[in-house]
Amino acid sequence: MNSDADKIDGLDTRLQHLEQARCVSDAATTRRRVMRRLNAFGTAVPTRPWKSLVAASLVIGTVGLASLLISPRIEESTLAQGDNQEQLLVVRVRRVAMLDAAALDALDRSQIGDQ
Amino acid sequence: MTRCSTRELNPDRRDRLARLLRAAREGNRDAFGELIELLHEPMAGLAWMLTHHHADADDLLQETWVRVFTRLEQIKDPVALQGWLYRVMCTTASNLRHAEGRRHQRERTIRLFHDAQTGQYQDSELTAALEKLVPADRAILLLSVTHGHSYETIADLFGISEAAARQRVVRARASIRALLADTQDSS
Repeated sequence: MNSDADKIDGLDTRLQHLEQARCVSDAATTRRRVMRRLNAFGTAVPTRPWKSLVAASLVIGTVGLASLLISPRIEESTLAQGDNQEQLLVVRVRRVAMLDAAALDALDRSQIGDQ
Repeated sequence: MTRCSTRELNPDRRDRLARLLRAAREGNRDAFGELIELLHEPMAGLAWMLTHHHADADDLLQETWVRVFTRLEQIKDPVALQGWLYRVMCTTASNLRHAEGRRHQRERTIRLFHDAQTGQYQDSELTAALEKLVPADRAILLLSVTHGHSYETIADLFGISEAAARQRVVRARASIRALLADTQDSS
Protein backbone atom coordinates (compact mmCIF):
# COMPACT_ATOMS: atom_id res chain seq x y z
CA MET A 1 0.00 0.00 0.00
CA ASN A 2 2.89 2.35 0.69
CA SER A 3 4.78 3.94 -2.13
CA ASP A 4 8.51 4.56 -2.09
CA ALA A 5 7.86 8.25 -1.59
CA ASP A 6 6.14 7.47 1.74
CA LYS A 7 9.13 5.54 2.96
CA ILE A 8 11.51 8.34 1.97
CA ASP A 9 9.73 11.22 3.70
CA GLY A 10 8.60 9.05 6.63
CA LEU A 11 5.02 10.30 6.56
CA ASP A 12 3.62 6.91 7.56
CA THR A 13 6.08 6.59 10.43
CA ARG A 14 5.13 10.02 11.72
CA LEU A 15 1.44 9.16 11.47
CA GLN A 16 2.03 5.90 13.34
CA HIS A 17 3.90 7.66 16.15
CA LEU A 18 1.02 10.07 16.51
CA GLU A 19 -1.42 7.19 16.82
CA GLN A 20 0.71 5.38 19.38
CA ALA A 21 0.51 8.36 21.71
CA ARG A 22 -3.23 7.72 22.02
CA CYS A 23 -4.76 9.08 25.18
CA VAL A 24 -8.51 8.63 25.69
CA SER A 25 -10.56 7.78 28.79
CA ASP A 26 -11.35 4.11 29.46
CA ALA A 27 -14.63 2.41 28.61
CA ALA A 28 -16.14 2.59 32.10
CA THR A 29 -15.41 6.32 32.42
CA THR A 30 -16.92 7.03 29.00
CA ARG A 31 -20.01 5.01 29.87
CA ARG A 32 -20.42 6.88 33.18
CA ARG A 33 -20.10 10.28 31.50
CA VAL A 34 -22.51 9.46 28.68
CA MET A 35 -25.06 8.09 31.14
CA ARG A 36 -24.77 11.21 33.28
CA ARG A 37 -25.50 13.36 30.23
CA LEU A 38 -28.43 11.20 29.17
CA ASN A 39 -29.87 11.30 32.68
CA ALA A 40 -29.60 15.07 32.63
CA PHE A 41 -31.78 15.08 29.50
CA GLY A 42 -34.50 12.92 31.08
CA THR A 43 -36.13 10.00 29.30
CA ALA A 44 -36.74 11.64 25.95
CA VAL A 45 -33.97 13.52 24.25
CA PRO A 46 -35.23 16.17 21.83
CA THR A 47 -32.85 15.63 18.94
CA ARG A 48 -34.07 18.23 16.50
CA PRO A 49 -36.55 20.58 18.13
CA TRP A 50 -36.63 22.72 14.98
CA LYS A 51 -38.36 19.85 13.21
CA SER A 52 -41.27 19.99 15.65
CA LEU A 53 -41.41 23.78 15.27
CA VAL A 54 -41.51 23.57 11.48
CA ALA A 55 -44.20 20.87 11.62
CA ALA A 56 -46.29 22.94 14.05
CA SER A 57 -45.89 26.07 11.88
CA LEU A 58 -47.00 24.14 8.80
CA VAL A 59 -50.10 22.82 10.56
CA ILE A 60 -51.00 26.26 11.95
CA GLY A 61 -50.33 27.89 8.57
CA THR A 62 -52.45 25.37 6.68
CA VAL A 63 -55.36 25.62 9.10
CA GLY A 64 -55.13 29.43 9.06
CA LEU A 65 -55.08 29.61 5.27
CA ALA A 66 -57.98 27.18 5.00
CA SER A 67 -60.06 29.28 7.38
CA LEU A 68 -59.17 32.42 5.39
CA LEU A 69 -60.39 30.76 2.24
CA ILE A 70 -63.52 29.19 3.64
CA SER A 71 -65.04 31.75 6.04
CA PRO A 72 -65.33 34.71 3.58
CA ARG A 73 -66.95 32.39 1.06
CA ILE A 74 -69.59 31.43 3.60
CA GLU A 75 -70.11 35.12 4.33
CA GLU A 76 -70.26 35.86 0.60
CA SER A 77 -72.86 33.23 -0.09
CA THR A 78 -74.98 34.51 2.84
CA LEU A 79 -74.75 38.08 1.51
CA ALA A 80 -75.47 37.00 -2.04
CA GLN A 81 -78.68 35.37 -0.84
CA GLY A 82 -79.59 38.62 0.94
CA ASP A 83 -79.04 40.55 -2.29
CA ASN A 84 -76.75 43.14 -0.60
CA GLN A 85 -74.28 43.90 -3.42
CA GLU A 86 -72.37 46.66 -1.59
CA GLN A 87 -71.54 44.50 1.43
CA LEU A 88 -70.68 41.64 -0.92
CA LEU A 89 -68.11 43.81 -2.69
CA VAL A 90 -66.52 44.84 0.63
CA VAL A 91 -66.21 41.21 1.72
CA ARG A 92 -64.63 40.22 -1.61
CA VAL A 93 -62.07 43.06 -1.43
CA ARG A 94 -61.27 42.08 2.14
CA ARG A 95 -60.76 38.43 1.12
CA VAL A 96 -58.32 39.38 -1.64
CA ALA A 97 -56.40 41.62 0.80
CA MET A 98 -56.23 38.82 3.37
CA LEU A 99 -54.97 36.35 0.80
CA ASP A 100 -52.28 38.81 -0.28
CA ALA A 101 -51.23 39.27 3.35
CA ALA A 102 -51.11 35.50 3.86
CA ALA A 103 -49.01 35.07 0.71
CA LEU A 104 -46.59 37.80 1.80
CA ASP A 105 -46.37 36.25 5.24
CA ALA A 106 -45.60 32.82 3.73
CA LEU A 107 -42.95 34.41 1.50
CA ASP A 108 -41.33 36.11 4.50
CA ARG A 109 -41.27 32.85 6.39
CA SER A 110 -39.72 30.94 3.51
CA GLN A 111 -37.00 33.59 3.20
CA ILE A 112 -36.27 33.37 6.90
CA GLY A 113 -36.07 29.57 6.46
CA ASP A 114 -33.55 30.01 3.61
CA GLN A 115 -31.30 32.06 5.85
CA MET B 1 -21.93 -4.29 -0.58
CA THR B 2 -20.07 -6.77 1.59
CA ARG B 3 -19.83 -6.26 5.32
CA CYS B 4 -16.36 -7.62 5.90
CA SER B 5 -15.63 -5.47 8.97
CA THR B 6 -18.49 -6.93 10.95
CA ARG B 7 -18.13 -10.32 9.37
CA GLU B 8 -14.84 -10.44 11.21
CA LEU B 9 -16.77 -10.43 14.50
CA ASN B 10 -17.32 -13.81 16.05
CA PRO B 11 -20.97 -14.99 16.17
CA ASP B 12 -21.21 -14.64 19.97
CA ARG B 13 -20.14 -11.02 19.88
CA ARG B 14 -22.45 -10.31 16.95
CA ASP B 15 -25.39 -11.88 18.79
CA ARG B 16 -24.56 -9.91 21.91
CA LEU B 17 -24.42 -6.68 19.89
CA ALA B 18 -27.78 -7.46 18.29
CA ARG B 19 -29.33 -8.22 21.69
CA LEU B 20 -27.97 -5.05 23.26
CA LEU B 21 -29.00 -2.91 20.30
CA ARG B 22 -32.55 -4.27 20.45
CA ALA B 23 -32.80 -3.67 24.19
CA ALA B 24 -31.28 -0.17 23.89
CA ARG B 25 -33.80 0.72 21.20
CA GLU B 26 -36.55 -0.29 23.61
CA GLY B 27 -35.18 2.25 26.09
CA ASN B 28 -32.97 0.01 28.21
CA ARG B 29 -30.15 2.30 29.30
CA ASP B 30 -28.12 -0.45 30.93
CA ALA B 31 -28.03 -2.19 27.56
CA PHE B 32 -26.92 1.05 25.94
CA GLY B 33 -24.19 1.38 28.58
CA GLU B 34 -22.98 -2.13 27.79
CA LEU B 35 -22.96 -1.22 24.11
CA ILE B 36 -20.71 1.74 24.90
CA GLU B 37 -18.26 -0.49 26.75
CA LEU B 38 -18.34 -3.21 24.11
CA LEU B 39 -17.57 -0.81 21.28
CA HIS B 40 -15.27 1.49 23.24
CA GLU B 41 -12.02 0.37 21.65
CA PRO B 42 -12.80 1.17 17.99
CA MET B 43 -14.79 4.28 18.91
CA ALA B 44 -12.08 5.69 21.17
CA GLY B 45 -9.52 4.90 18.47
CA LEU B 46 -11.48 6.86 15.90
CA ALA B 47 -12.08 9.75 18.34
CA TRP B 48 -8.34 9.95 18.87
CA MET B 49 -7.66 9.86 15.13
CA LEU B 50 -10.06 12.74 14.62
CA THR B 51 -8.72 14.95 17.39
CA HIS B 52 -5.26 13.86 18.62
CA HIS B 53 -6.07 15.49 21.90
CA HIS B 54 -7.21 13.87 25.14
CA ALA B 55 -10.00 16.26 26.17
CA ASP B 56 -11.27 16.73 22.60
CA ALA B 57 -11.35 12.98 22.01
CA ASP B 58 -13.35 12.48 25.22
CA ASP B 59 -15.78 15.24 24.24
CA LEU B 60 -16.21 13.76 20.78
CA LEU B 61 -16.77 10.27 22.20
CA GLN B 62 -19.46 11.50 24.60
CA GLU B 63 -21.18 13.69 22.04
CA THR B 64 -21.24 10.84 19.54
CA TRP B 65 -22.77 8.37 22.00
CA VAL B 66 -25.42 10.89 23.02
CA ARG B 67 -26.31 11.39 19.34
CA VAL B 68 -26.32 7.66 18.77
CA PHE B 69 -28.78 7.24 21.64
CA THR B 70 -31.17 9.71 20.05
CA ARG B 71 -30.95 7.99 16.65
CA LEU B 72 -31.04 4.34 17.68
CA GLU B 73 -34.19 3.71 15.69
CA GLN B 74 -32.24 4.47 12.49
CA ILE B 75 -30.07 1.40 12.79
CA LYS B 76 -31.99 -1.80 12.18
CA ASP B 77 -29.19 -4.17 11.23
CA PRO B 78 -26.52 -4.81 13.91
CA VAL B 79 -24.18 -6.00 11.16
CA ALA B 80 -23.96 -2.43 9.89
CA LEU B 81 -23.62 -0.96 13.38
CA GLN B 82 -19.92 -0.17 13.46
CA GLY B 83 -19.88 1.57 10.09
CA TRP B 84 -22.90 3.60 11.11
CA LEU B 85 -21.23 4.59 14.40
CA TYR B 86 -18.11 5.66 12.49
CA ARG B 87 -20.16 7.84 10.18
CA VAL B 88 -22.06 9.40 13.10
CA MET B 89 -18.74 10.18 14.78
CA CYS B 90 -17.30 11.78 11.64
CA THR B 91 -20.41 13.93 11.25
CA THR B 92 -20.29 14.86 14.93
CA ALA B 93 -16.61 15.75 14.62
CA SER B 94 -17.41 17.90 11.61
CA ASN B 95 -20.19 19.72 13.48
CA LEU B 96 -18.07 20.21 16.57
CA ARG B 97 -15.25 21.52 14.44
CA HIS B 98 -17.50 24.11 12.82
CA ALA B 99 -19.00 25.11 16.14
CA GLU B 100 -15.74 25.33 17.99
CA GLY B 101 -13.41 26.37 15.18
CA ARG B 102 -12.33 29.60 16.75
CA ARG B 103 -12.00 28.23 20.25
CA HIS B 104 -9.99 25.37 18.84
CA GLN B 105 -7.48 27.63 17.14
CA ARG B 106 -7.10 29.73 20.29
CA GLU B 107 -6.53 26.72 22.52
CA ARG B 108 -4.19 24.97 20.14
CA THR B 109 -1.14 26.89 21.25
CA ILE B 110 -1.93 26.20 24.89
CA ARG B 111 -2.49 22.53 24.13
CA LEU B 112 0.80 22.05 22.32
CA PHE B 113 2.58 23.65 25.24
CA HIS B 114 0.75 21.32 27.62
CA ASP B 115 1.66 18.27 25.53
CA ALA B 116 5.29 19.26 25.67
CA GLN B 117 5.02 19.61 29.45
CA THR B 118 3.51 16.16 29.90
CA GLY B 119 6.01 14.57 27.60
CA GLN B 120 3.29 13.18 25.36
CA TYR B 121 4.47 12.56 21.81
CA GLN B 122 3.58 15.48 19.62
CA ASP B 123 4.14 16.38 16.04
CA SER B 124 2.62 19.81 15.80
CA GLU B 125 3.18 20.20 12.06
CA LEU B 126 1.56 16.87 11.28
CA THR B 127 -1.30 17.43 13.73
CA ALA B 128 -1.97 20.84 12.19
CA ALA B 129 -1.94 19.35 8.69
CA LEU B 130 -4.31 16.54 9.75
CA GLU B 131 -6.68 19.08 11.27
CA LYS B 132 -7.10 20.65 7.85
CA LEU B 133 -8.56 17.47 6.37
CA VAL B 134 -12.28 16.90 6.71
CA PRO B 135 -12.89 14.38 9.54
CA ALA B 136 -13.91 11.50 7.27
CA ASP B 137 -10.80 11.86 5.08
CA ARG B 138 -8.62 12.08 8.16
CA ALA B 139 -10.16 8.90 9.58
CA ILE B 140 -9.90 7.07 6.26
CA LEU B 141 -6.23 7.98 5.90
CA LEU B 142 -5.35 6.90 9.45
CA LEU B 143 -7.39 3.70 9.31
CA SER B 144 -5.44 2.78 6.21
CA VAL B 145 -1.96 3.93 7.17
CA THR B 146 -1.72 3.38 10.90
CA HIS B 147 -4.28 0.63 11.47
CA GLY B 148 -3.60 -1.26 8.26
CA HIS B 149 -7.27 -1.66 7.34
CA SER B 150 -7.90 -2.74 3.77
CA TYR B 151 -9.68 -0.48 1.31
CA GLU B 152 -12.48 -3.01 1.33
CA THR B 153 -12.98 -2.65 5.08
CA ILE B 154 -12.78 1.14 4.90
CA ALA B 155 -15.26 1.20 2.03
CA ASP B 156 -17.59 -0.93 4.12
CA LEU B 157 -17.26 1.25 7.22
CA PHE B 158 -17.87 4.51 5.40
CA GLY B 159 -20.47 3.27 2.95
CA ILE B 160 -18.39 4.12 -0.13
CA SER B 161 -16.91 2.07 -2.97
CA GLU B 162 -13.49 0.46 -2.68
CA ALA B 163 -12.18 2.66 -5.50
CA ALA B 164 -13.44 5.77 -3.69
CA ALA B 165 -11.71 4.63 -0.47
CA ARG B 166 -8.43 4.17 -2.33
CA GLN B 167 -8.79 7.53 -4.02
CA ARG B 168 -9.51 9.32 -0.74
CA VAL B 169 -6.43 7.79 0.92
CA VAL B 170 -4.25 8.89 -1.99
CA ARG B 171 -5.80 12.36 -1.99
CA ALA B 172 -5.49 12.77 1.80
CA ARG B 173 -1.88 11.64 1.71
CA ALA B 174 -1.10 14.13 -1.07
CA SER B 175 -2.83 16.94 0.86
CA ILE B 176 -0.85 16.17 4.01
CA ARG B 177 2.39 16.09 2.08
CA ALA B 178 1.61 19.43 0.40
CA LEU B 179 0.66 21.02 3.73
CA LEU B 180 3.87 19.78 5.37
CA ALA B 181 5.91 21.13 2.45
CA ASP B 182 4.16 24.52 2.80
CA THR B 183 5.00 24.60 6.51
CA GLN B 184 8.65 23.82 5.86
CA ASP B 185 8.86 26.47 3.11
CA SER B 186 7.37 29.15 5.32
CA SER B 187 9.61 28.36 8.32
